[in-house]
Amino acid sequence: MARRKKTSLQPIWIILAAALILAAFLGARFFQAGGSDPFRTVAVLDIPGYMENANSLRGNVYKVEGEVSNSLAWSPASGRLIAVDVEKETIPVLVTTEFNAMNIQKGQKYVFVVEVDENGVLRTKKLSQP
Amino acid sequence: MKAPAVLLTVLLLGSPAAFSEGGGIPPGAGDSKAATGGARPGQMNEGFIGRDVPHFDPGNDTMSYDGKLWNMNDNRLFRARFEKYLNAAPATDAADVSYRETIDKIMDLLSPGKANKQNQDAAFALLKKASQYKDDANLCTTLSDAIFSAKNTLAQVEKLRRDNEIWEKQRAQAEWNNEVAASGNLLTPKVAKDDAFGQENQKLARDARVATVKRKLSEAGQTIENNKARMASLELTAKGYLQALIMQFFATRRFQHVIIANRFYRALYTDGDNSIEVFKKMVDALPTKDSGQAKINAEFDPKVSGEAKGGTYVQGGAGANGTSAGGGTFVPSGQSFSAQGMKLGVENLGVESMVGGAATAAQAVSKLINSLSQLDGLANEAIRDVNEGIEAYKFLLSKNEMKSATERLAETFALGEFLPSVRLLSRDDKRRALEFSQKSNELLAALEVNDLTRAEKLVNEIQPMAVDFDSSKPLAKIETAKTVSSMHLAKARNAAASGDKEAMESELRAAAEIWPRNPALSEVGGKIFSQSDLQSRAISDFDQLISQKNFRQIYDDKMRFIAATAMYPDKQEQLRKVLEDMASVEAAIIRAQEVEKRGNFAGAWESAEAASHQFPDDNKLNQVRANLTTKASDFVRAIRQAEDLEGRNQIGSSLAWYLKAQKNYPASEFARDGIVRINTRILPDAK
Repeated sequence: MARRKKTSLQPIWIILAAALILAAFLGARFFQAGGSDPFRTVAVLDIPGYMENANSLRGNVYKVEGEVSNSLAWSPASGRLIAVDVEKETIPVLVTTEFNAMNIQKGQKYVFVVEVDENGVLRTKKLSQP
Repeated sequence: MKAPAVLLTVLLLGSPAAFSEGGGIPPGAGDSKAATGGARPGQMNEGFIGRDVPHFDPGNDTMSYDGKLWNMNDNRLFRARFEKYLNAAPATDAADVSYRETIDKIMDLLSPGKANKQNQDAAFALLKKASQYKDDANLCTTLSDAIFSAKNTLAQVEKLRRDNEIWEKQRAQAEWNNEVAASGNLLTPKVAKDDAFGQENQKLARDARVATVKRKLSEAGQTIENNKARMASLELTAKGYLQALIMQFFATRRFQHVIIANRFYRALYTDGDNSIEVFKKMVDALPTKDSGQAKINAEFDPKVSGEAKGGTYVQGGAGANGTSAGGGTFVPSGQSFSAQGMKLGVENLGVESMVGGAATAAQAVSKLINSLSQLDGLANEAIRDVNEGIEAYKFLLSKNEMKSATERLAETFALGEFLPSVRLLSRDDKRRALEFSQKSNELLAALEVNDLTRAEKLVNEIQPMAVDFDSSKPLAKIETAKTVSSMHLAKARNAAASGDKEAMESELRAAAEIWPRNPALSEVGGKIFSQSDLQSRAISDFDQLISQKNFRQIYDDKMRFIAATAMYPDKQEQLRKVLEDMASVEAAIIRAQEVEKRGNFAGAWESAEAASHQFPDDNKLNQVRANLTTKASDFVRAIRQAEDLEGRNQIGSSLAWYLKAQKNYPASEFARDGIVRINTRILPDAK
């Protein structure tokens, strides 16, 4: 009797297919993420460093992402001073008048691009919701 | 002439009792001022016998004369002399006995009925013997000399009388001669009437004879008159001297000598004239007042006039620097006589009252006594009274009535100190009076210096000793003084408590004056002064603590400082401010501790920290704060960091730390205030 020749997928093909699928997934993720953060090129503010001494940070621009915990003060001419919870700390951020159109409320999360002014106050340059 | 000087001495030694009706040892009355009540006594008024005569008021045991008061119970010299007598042994030794026998013998020889010439001479001889005993004090020698002098004077008078008799005869002869000479000489031849020349010669011869006789006649008459004047003067002088001596014996209470001298006087002067006018004239001349330099010059001027020079004088002077005396007799030298009188001087004594008193005493005695017989009677009466006083003393002694007994003995002693009955009193009999007298004198002294404790003790000791001692008067004074002193002490205490230092001192002084040895005085005074000392120290401490800002110490010792600053309004205000602040600190501490108990360390720390800003130097607060700093370290660090950054103008970071602190302790006022402060700086126009 004659033996019948067996027909099945080679394992190499299975491994290659899995690798391709993974690469496609990671690539999609990569491009997806880079495309949603518009301030991905801005350095993140070192919160502990800022709290210890803001003098060395004066004039720099940083990115801060946090949740609005309180509105501290508001000035029609200068803007709104809010408290933002970041990394278990709360820092004050001055949202200047150019963002008056935004309805910033307690509990909202924002990404702030801020500049450290001469007094160590974080003045908002850009603002977006994550 | 020494009588006034002796009277002065007598007066100084307290012998006025001799003139009084009583006296004696004090019954425990107060001082002399108390005895007189400080008021002008009734005796100061002119009595019916005037103020010259001593007057004794038995109501208050005072004697007055010449406007001066003498307290019989408060005479230190008399008390001392009386105590000396009470301590002395009785005069019973052989010499004393012999002396008394001699005096008795003299008195017996001179007694009425026996005083013949022989007995008088015997008595006179015994005077020498009597004067050898010390008890006599040589008075018999003085008397003997006076008698001898009087006899000499009498002999001189007798000689002058005989001289006068001779002169009388010579004068009679001269008168006859004169008559013969005037009638002409029958043996001479007659001259014719017309022989004018012859007659003229005869007249000249007769005139020459008559002139010689007339001269002799005049000389005789003048000498006779001069001798008469001298006789009168000598007699008066001798009498005056002897009278003064008798008065001296009387004034010094030598009554036996008075009697003896008086009897000699009568024997010498048998004319029956016993008046003492001579003595009176002498003492009347004494000055009773002399301002400035004390000086007595008692001149004895018998007012005899004549040409013969002579007289007797005695001069004496006593002064602060000593005593001087001098005397002598001018014997008439024949042709002229002038009574120089007698002088007694007390010079430079410096105590006007003594001088006036002595003179007044002598004058007073001379007014009371008019004759030597009267003096003799008084001396006899005094002797009897003294003997009776001694008997009374012994009787009262047996009844244990020591007060009366001692008073009687003191009176008797004052009157008859030198009489045998007084001298013979046994020492045992005197000792009881001495004890009572000493205690009475101590009581007087204690009352005088207001030693009330001692006075009360003495009263309690005297009471059982003398059943007749009236303790009510001294006890009343003692109790009254004690009460008043206590009242002053209470006032002093109150004044000290109220901070009235002036009143406190015044009251303490008043209390001390009334009862200097009051035990409570030193106790209260000590407390007050200790309190004052504490107060001073407290004030000093307060000032120091204020300068150190150690308000906690002031607060902890606040009761002490409240009391200490009571009389210092400015410091009171300082203390009030400190206590108010410290009350705030204490409240903060209590609040922090209460918050801590609830586990809110941050809140507790914040409470302590807030108070420490106001009172950074309070140790207790700082300690509490330090403890809480450890317990609320995160919160404290956040606040400290925030404040530090705020100070360094890093307001952004500072605000972050304030927010962190607020997150840690949401009720934190520090965090809230900091946030508001920073907000305002970031947004000055914030709404």
